[in-house]
Amino acid sequence: MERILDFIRSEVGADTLMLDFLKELVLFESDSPGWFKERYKEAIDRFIDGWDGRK
Amino acid sequence: MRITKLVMRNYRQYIDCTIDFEKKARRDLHVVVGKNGVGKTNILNAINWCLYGNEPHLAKDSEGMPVGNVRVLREAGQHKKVIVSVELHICLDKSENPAFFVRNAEYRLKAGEETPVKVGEDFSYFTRDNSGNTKIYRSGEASTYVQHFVPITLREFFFFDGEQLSNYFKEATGQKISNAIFELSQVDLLNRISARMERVLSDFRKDASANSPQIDEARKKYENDKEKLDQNKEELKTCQDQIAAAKDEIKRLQDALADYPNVEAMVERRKQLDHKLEDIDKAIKMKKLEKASKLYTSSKFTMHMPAIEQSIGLIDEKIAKGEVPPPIDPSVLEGVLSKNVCKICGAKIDTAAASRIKTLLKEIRTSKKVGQAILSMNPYLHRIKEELPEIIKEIKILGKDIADKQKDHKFTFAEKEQIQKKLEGFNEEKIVAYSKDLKKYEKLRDDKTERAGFLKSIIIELERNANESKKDWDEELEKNKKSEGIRNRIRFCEKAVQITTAAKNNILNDIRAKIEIETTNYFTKLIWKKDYFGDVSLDSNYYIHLFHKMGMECLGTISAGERGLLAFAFTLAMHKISGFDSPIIIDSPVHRISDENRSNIANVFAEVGEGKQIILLFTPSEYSSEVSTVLSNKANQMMLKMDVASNSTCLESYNG
Amino acid sequence: MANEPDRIYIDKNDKAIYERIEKANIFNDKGNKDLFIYAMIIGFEQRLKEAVSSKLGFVRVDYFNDEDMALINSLAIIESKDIDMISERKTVYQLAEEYAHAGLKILNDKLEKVPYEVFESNLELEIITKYEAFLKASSKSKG
Repeated sequence: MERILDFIRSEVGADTLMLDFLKELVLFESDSPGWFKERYKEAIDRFIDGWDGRK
Repeated sequence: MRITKLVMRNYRQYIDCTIDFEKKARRDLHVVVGKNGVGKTNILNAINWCLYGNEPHLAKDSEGMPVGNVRVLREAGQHKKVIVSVELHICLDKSENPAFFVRNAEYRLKAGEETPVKVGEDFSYFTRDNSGNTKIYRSGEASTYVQHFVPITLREFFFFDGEQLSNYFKEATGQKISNAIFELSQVDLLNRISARMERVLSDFRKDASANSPQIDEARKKYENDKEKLDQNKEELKTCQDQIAAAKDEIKRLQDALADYPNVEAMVERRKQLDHKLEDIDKAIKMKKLEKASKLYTSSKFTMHMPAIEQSIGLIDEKIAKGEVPPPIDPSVLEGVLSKNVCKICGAKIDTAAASRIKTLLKEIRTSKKVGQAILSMNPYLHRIKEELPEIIKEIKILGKDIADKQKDHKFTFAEKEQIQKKLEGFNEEKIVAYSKDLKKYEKLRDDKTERAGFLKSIIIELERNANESKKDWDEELEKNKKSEGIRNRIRFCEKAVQITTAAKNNILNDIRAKIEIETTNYFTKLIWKKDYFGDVSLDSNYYIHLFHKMGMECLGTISAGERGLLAFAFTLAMHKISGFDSPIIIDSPVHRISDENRSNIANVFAEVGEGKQIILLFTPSEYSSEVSTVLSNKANQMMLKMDVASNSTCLESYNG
Repeated sequence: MANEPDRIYIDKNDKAIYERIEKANIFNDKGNKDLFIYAMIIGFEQRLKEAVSSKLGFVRVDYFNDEDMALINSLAIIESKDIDMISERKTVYQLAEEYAHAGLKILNDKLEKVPYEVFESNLELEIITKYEAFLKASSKSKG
């Protein structure tokens, strides 16, 4: 998993918010549960405020 | 993750046997030595049976036999049950929490049956959580945990037979390797994130459409264009996979056919020659019959020719004399006799005259009959005389024809014999089948390549369309103030998808590059011809390439032993790069490796065993001094022994 | 004509021989009448005839075609030196039967003595030799 996070880190650049969001998804997915939509949307709602799409 | 213990009860040669895999100092290296037939390979089979329910390394004479110990099954008697059980105890990660997998099969000897039959089977996974509570998972859930331990798609990289290694690059296709790398690198997690993100994105896009019909229209157009694009991309991927698979097959078949040049052409030629010989034989038979018939006719005429000639002479003479046909018409004399009056002078015919006329009439009648016969046979006799020389000529021609055809037969047969000799020892059917398959796959490759080219050009067009319609949609969204929130969410999701996809591709490329380097490193350590080989590379289709130091590709020309070492180096590289911590178990690891090169391999085992559990199963001859000298003070050594009394195998410590 | 025979007879012991020799290639697709005529010609060529003691009907006379009759009649003409003799059908057929009876033995002997291929190649040589001799004799007599 560390490797995955390292590669994501190198892609997001300065977008630390996106990094944290994706970290959360990676942790969530490593248990590979069946349901996901609510979880994803809830995480998006939390992270979208303050996200600067230009980074 | 490591195996701590294997417990086998009533499984094949093992009535009650426990193998403990204790670490020795800092190494997790284990050696089990056993003669052939004692159950060495069945340790590997036991682990496979426990985890996956099958035994991929079963000896031929065990196929079809029940999994349970035959003696125990037979002695159990009617209706009594026997439980065959294999427990695989493992230690997960660094937590040291014990866990084990167990598979039980129940056998009963039914009435009237000679062999006990399996009446049930169950599979479970036992584990303990951090609070010390035991958790039990059964069947499908238990199998999920097997996938965390050693996924079935990867087991051939973890549990394998040394004999398989030398065939590895003939059977491990690019497709198989890419699947394995995909699984080992765990990028499926990133795949899942981007796929799920796309679905969330789709929901957001639908929500945005609800704000205005123009947005909805633009969304529908975009989704329609995107769907077409994705379908074609999907088809292109399928095409490319099919091309890769066809190339794998082509390579395999070309390797298989490399030693049999032109067999297919020779077999085809031989078939043609067989047909030709058949035709020639038929023609010779026909001509012989024709000749025989002419011999009959011509010999008959030739033998009789003097008689024929004489007869012709006599007949011609009679005709010349006017005796044939007779000069007097008998009907005139018949008329005279019936009226008793001479037709010429009209005088009455007396008795004497009548008698004379009757005699003359008889003579004339006879003469007429003879005349008729003579006139009838004459043309035939003449014709025989004329035709005979022609028939004799025809016989000579037929004789020559037959001789020519016999010569042709001789040469054709000789050519066929030559081909037959060349084909001796080949399994023609197999080779012809390979050649046919090769052509089939070459055509498939070519057809799919053409199709892929076509799809690529369509995809360019479709991508342009999808980008245009996306742009239009974004513009509609921009225009609509109410959609700002949703717009942001959409952008956020799109960015997340972009990042995870890029990360996935980078991981795969990175892994591929690292595997190349590690495979080269391990191979250099393992191989004895250290100055001969250069680098190992893994191309974009995941084909392995091995290069000579001078730069030429040489995978196709190395020995079976070298190929086995390359496969082993590749497997070790896969393990190292993947980060997958599961143990490696190898049966007959030095199969096909000559004695003097075994110490290289033993040293690599010792090195790898410092960071990873390795279990090696040797026969006594394989565990030669070259190997045991290196491993004896680094490995936990055990020996299998067959107990003659109980006809079962048990474990002893190795005493060299 | 009354008393004209309706069939040709062979010796009953010859039947088995005919059945054996008809298997030879040279008689492929040939019937009884053809075998009979062949045997008759062989016998006549050698001027060997033998009376038939126990008769067995073999071929109906109406099975012979005109060419066959021409060969049979020519034999009778030469034997009797009298053309008119061919009106005596009974005598003509009897002569044919006697020559065939003797000729069959010669033919059988030839076929049994050597392998068939040799018989055929001997026959071919014989045909050429005899025909050439005939031509020579023919041209001499013409002067």
